[in-house]
Amino acid sequence: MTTQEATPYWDDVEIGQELPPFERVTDLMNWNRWAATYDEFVPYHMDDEGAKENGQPAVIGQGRIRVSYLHTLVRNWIGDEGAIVTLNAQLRGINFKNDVLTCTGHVTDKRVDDDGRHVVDLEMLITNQSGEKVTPGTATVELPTRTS
Amino acid sequence: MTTNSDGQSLITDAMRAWVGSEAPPLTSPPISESDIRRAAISIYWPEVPPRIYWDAEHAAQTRWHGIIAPEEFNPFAWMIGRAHVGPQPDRLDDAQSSLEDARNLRPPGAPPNFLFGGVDTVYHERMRPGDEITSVIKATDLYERSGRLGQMLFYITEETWTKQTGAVVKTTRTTNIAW
Repeated sequence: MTTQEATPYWDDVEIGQELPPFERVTDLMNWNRWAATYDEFVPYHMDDEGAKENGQPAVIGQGRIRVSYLHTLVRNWIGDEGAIVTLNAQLRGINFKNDVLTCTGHVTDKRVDDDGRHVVDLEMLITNQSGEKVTPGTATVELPTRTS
Repeated sequence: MTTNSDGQSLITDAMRAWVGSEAPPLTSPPISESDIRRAAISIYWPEVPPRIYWDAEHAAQTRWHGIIAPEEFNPFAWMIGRAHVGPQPDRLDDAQSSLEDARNLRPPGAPPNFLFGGVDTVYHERMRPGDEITSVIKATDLYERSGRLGQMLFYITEETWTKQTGAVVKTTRTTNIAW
């Protein structure tokens, strides 16, 4: 089973609090499964030859997987009862085969939004094994309160 | 405006005219529980995905009262005759192929190489089994920058998904990079 946790209450969240980090070793086992469910069979995600034709030195991972990892980072923390309200991800750098990507995040704010929802703002980052910041992102999530 | 090494901008009048164009809508087949389960497995691999995506009994006890799809689930996968994602089978559905071509909003004359730059999404209703999702996509902006790959063209599209009920699922602003 995943490392998903029980949904935190908005009341208990503290600014600066860290989300549980996780790692992915990215390779064809990940990419091919993802391509098969998303029907995204693009040559530069499939082999080195296809990548070279697109100006890359070797096969590269799908950028949308990294976006998905940020969703997973958030979901692992908010559990079944939270909801993602917004999510932003910026793809920087390239994800090569066997890269180890570490996904981290922390709370930057908690507030009641214009719709009366109890929300928490997050800053997130995917870093590769060389320390390169390959995918920064932000999100806003809605959490239950102890009185709701 | 940024220019390339020859002092020329990548952006043409035809590209500027492209901003504001809208592609024909596309409606997905009904989402099945199996579609959701398989997508969740691929997203969470090598871990087992959360039960909310595959265990109806568990999902019924949550605030969602049933199985939901992960936010980034793609209901438009495996449609007949997809035209814009690499090599295709010999016998395409021509109408679907033309539609997919039209939906691949890309500035006219954009450089041939492509990278996905990122997304900015606002979520509303969750996708569930049985939902049919309609996508409307439009071109909203373009600009250029110099980078690791030389002069690069950034173009922005905005896509809105709605359910068969009219409820909005999400709006996504996507940054695409061509060089």
